[in-house]
Amino acid sequence: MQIRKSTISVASKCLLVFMALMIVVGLLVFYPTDTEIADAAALKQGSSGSVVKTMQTKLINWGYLSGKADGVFGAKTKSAVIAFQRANGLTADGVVGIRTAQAMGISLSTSSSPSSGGTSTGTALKQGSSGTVVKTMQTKLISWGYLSGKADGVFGAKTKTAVIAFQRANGLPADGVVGSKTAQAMGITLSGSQTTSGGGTTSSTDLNLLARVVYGEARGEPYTGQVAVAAVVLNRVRSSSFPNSIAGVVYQSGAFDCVADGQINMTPNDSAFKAARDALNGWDPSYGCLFYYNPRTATSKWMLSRTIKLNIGNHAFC
Amino acid sequence: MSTKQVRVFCEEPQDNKKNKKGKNGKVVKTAVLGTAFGLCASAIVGLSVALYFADRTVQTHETYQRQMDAVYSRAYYDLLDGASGLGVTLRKIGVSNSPRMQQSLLYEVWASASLAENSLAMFESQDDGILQAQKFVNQLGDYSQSLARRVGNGTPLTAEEREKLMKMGDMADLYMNALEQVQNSLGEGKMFVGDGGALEGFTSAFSQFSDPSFEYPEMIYDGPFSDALENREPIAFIGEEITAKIGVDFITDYFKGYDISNVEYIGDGNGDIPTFNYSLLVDGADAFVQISRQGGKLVAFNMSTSSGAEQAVKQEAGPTCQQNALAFADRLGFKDMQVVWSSSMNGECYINLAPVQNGVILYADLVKVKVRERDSRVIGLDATHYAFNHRDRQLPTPVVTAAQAAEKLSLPCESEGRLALIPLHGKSEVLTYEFECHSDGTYFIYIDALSGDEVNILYVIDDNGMGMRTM
Repeated sequence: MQIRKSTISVASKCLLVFMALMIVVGLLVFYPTDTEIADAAALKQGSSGSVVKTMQTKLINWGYLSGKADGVFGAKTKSAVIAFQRANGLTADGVVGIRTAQAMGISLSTSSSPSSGGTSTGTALKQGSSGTVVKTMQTKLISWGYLSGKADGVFGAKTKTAVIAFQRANGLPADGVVGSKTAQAMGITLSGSQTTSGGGTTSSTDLNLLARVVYGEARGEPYTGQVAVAAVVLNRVRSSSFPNSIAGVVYQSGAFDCVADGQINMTPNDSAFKAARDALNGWDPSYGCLFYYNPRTATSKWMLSRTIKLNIGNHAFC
Repeated sequence: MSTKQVRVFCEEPQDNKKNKKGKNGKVVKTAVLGTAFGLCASAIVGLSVALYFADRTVQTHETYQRQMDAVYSRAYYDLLDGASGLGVTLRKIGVSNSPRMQQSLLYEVWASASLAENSLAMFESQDDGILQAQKFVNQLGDYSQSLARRVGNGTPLTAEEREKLMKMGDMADLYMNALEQVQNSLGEGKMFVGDGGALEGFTSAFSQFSDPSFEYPEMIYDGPFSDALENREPIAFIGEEITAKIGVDFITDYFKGYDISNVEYIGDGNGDIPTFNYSLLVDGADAFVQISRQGGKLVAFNMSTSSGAEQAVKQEAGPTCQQNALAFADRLGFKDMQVVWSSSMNGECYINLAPVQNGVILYADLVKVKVRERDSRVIGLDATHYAFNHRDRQLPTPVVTAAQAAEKLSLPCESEGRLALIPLHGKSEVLTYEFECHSDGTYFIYIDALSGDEVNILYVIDDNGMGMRTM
């Protein structure tokens, strides 16, 4: 976050910003959005189906219910649900709404999601598959150390070997095919990520963008320093002196070095994603800071004149 | 004879030499000429190639420059449009006597300010004048919107408010002046980008906004950008001032049952909550802890777990995580808390806890806990909301019953309404009944427990990147 005073570099800087902008806009437009809208309906006496069965199995395991899981929500199940709700500080009405479902770790959604335990309707990925889902999967496998090299979005022999290694390590049938169970274990969605939905995609892209800034600006920093960088972006969004959207703040002219030098376009690692997620969930080690800089490399007088509120790693926050 | 012979004898080799010289000269000449020709040819080819590419580079460069210029120009003229609307509309509000007209004009100000705000954001960010100008339009829009809402609810503008709006009209004029300065340089045929472009003078045109003698009307109202929200104070964390050394004792106490080591004081936090910051190892992993200097409370704790494959396999996220979150918060002194939300992703679960006062959930005072699902260990906690908001509140008595509130809903509801105090636009809080309803998804609907009005609606989104969340 420094100003380069040289006038010669202004034009090339603008050019770079513009190109970075176009590339990222392109990426954002074509990036798969994993958003699914929960098609949730509460479970109550009279409900039946596989979700009820899953819930019953859990209630039996935890000792709230005895007998066998039959998938039918009867009076006995209702009493068990009430007992569960009482024990967990929930409204004890015997109806499994979203809060109770969350507490139980089940999903009411009829469509599959990694947390639902249901079966995925998506097509399995295998050798020969390609696309963004494969790329996402490869990125994960690389970050977990199962695969080396670059994620290219093509499911080749090397990827297959990596998938088999992952399956072995996680007690899954080691067939090299990414079906619903393996996908679930990897935390990827087979069906959702192949379609690009128009609405409600803000937060996936916001998370992505924020993770890119964290990676581009602070990848060598301690974890808390990474969270703080993401928090500065969000503090700016909330501040009246800055644009009111994440993209607005990130791409504001001269705001972030990683936009100017293109590092924002690098693929963020797991830590950057976690830090971005923590910040989006409210963590802000800087308690409201709007700026940061590296005191060793910063040259901007304007920046250096600000009062430092906190130092984390190589960054001074103010 | 002999001389002749000798001469002849001597001449012969000379002739030979001459011949050889001639031959060599030709070869050298040819070589030199060939090389020169080759060099010339390759220079010509090279130069033409270089020129061709240079020309293309210059062309591409110019194309990008023109495109950039178009982007800036558009932002500039939008900014001009937004700003020119402000001054006039603000004056009209000052003289209008009808609430309906005032409301519609206030909404106009809001729209113009939004346009100006978005467009100004395209320009340089690291300049105090621009930051202040940005703040002015943002607050003006926010303030107008909040007034419009209030006028719509039947409370007309006071004389003081109208005066303030008039004053803001004057400021909007200054804003226009700054923009016109830029226009002058554009009038001379300058582009925004490039050497000596209009961008270079852009920030200086706004310098008067950062002048310390420049008086801004204080804008305290019910909105996210209100001046009232600046300089927040951690009202919940009061108590004796501790030392960094005592902070270590607090940490040892807070992390009982955890394997902690290498606790090291690494500096102060002088943000809105004054803290001592520590680095330490919790269960062998790097962690960061912030302890409030007042009272030694744990304000935030966070650690990153290794990203091994073990995390990828989802473990039971059930009650144990929530119970551990509650127990951890309880030990830190956050009493009477209840789980109000939990969301899980990548082997980590974010659990929101809120205090309950006389059966009312206090949503503004959230404590957020991060739990690793594999072993239900707490790996993070953030109490900033609690720090800034928690206090003993005088809660109003509901006027509307839960059953009456339920009648206001358009959807059939699964849950009985429960009382919740929710934050609304900035600092104000409203006592509501919270209902969970299902239609094409899950909605949380909030009905004012005093007036019976619908005050907020949240929709639950299951987002794979973010876990479950509401919007």
